[in-house]
Amino acid sequence: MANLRVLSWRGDTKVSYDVERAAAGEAEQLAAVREAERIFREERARGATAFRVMTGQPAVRIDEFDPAAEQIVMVPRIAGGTA
Amino acid sequence: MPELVSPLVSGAIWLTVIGVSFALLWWRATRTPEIWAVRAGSRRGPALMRPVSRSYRVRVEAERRAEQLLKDILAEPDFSHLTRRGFLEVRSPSFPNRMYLIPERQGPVTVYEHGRPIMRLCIQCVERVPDHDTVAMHKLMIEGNEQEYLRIANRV
Repeated sequence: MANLRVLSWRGDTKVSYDVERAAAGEAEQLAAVREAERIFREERARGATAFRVMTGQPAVRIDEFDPAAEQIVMVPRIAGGTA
Repeated sequence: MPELVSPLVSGAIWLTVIGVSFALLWWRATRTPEIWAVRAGSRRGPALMRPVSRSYRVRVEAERRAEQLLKDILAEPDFSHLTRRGFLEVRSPSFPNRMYLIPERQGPVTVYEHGRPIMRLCIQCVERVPDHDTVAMHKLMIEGNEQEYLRIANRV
């Protein structure tokens, strides 16, 4: 099961999908992948940065939705702050 | 005369105190800040309780989810280190001997080179996110987008 997680004031919003079942043509999983892709594009347009994440390994920034990634985490737009 | 004025003044003060108290209670009961109104939607409930309890529940749930996300992306020893010592160490992918110390609670990130602090960086999500999500943001940005992270961060 792969996840797309978007950080927000709620903690995070998660969409889960099974790529193998989607590839096999399962309608529910195809819809979930499409929904994850839509959210990815929407958040990128709002200035979010996306990372492919694997536990215990350095994160890798991605610019395009990667359905094969085990986990994608999206960070909202960031700005410099003051102490 | 003073014997007559004193009870009158005292009574007036008490009436004012009671009046102001009722006014404050009425204001608190009827006022719903815009942000809570949006989140509360059309739900009905005791006006005095709704915003406070809902806000608290939402915050607790957000913190729980953020903690879970951080556990999912960190190796177990790193998460233990964070909770035990109050900061997370992230090695720079592009500067040898550079280490970022990310605090568990929101605050500046301290940058170390050769074991010595060289600067403190302040950077945050534009949207307010829970503390553990901020830790995740720092870690992901440093590992996956360090140049942009350094460009945006303010030195403090």
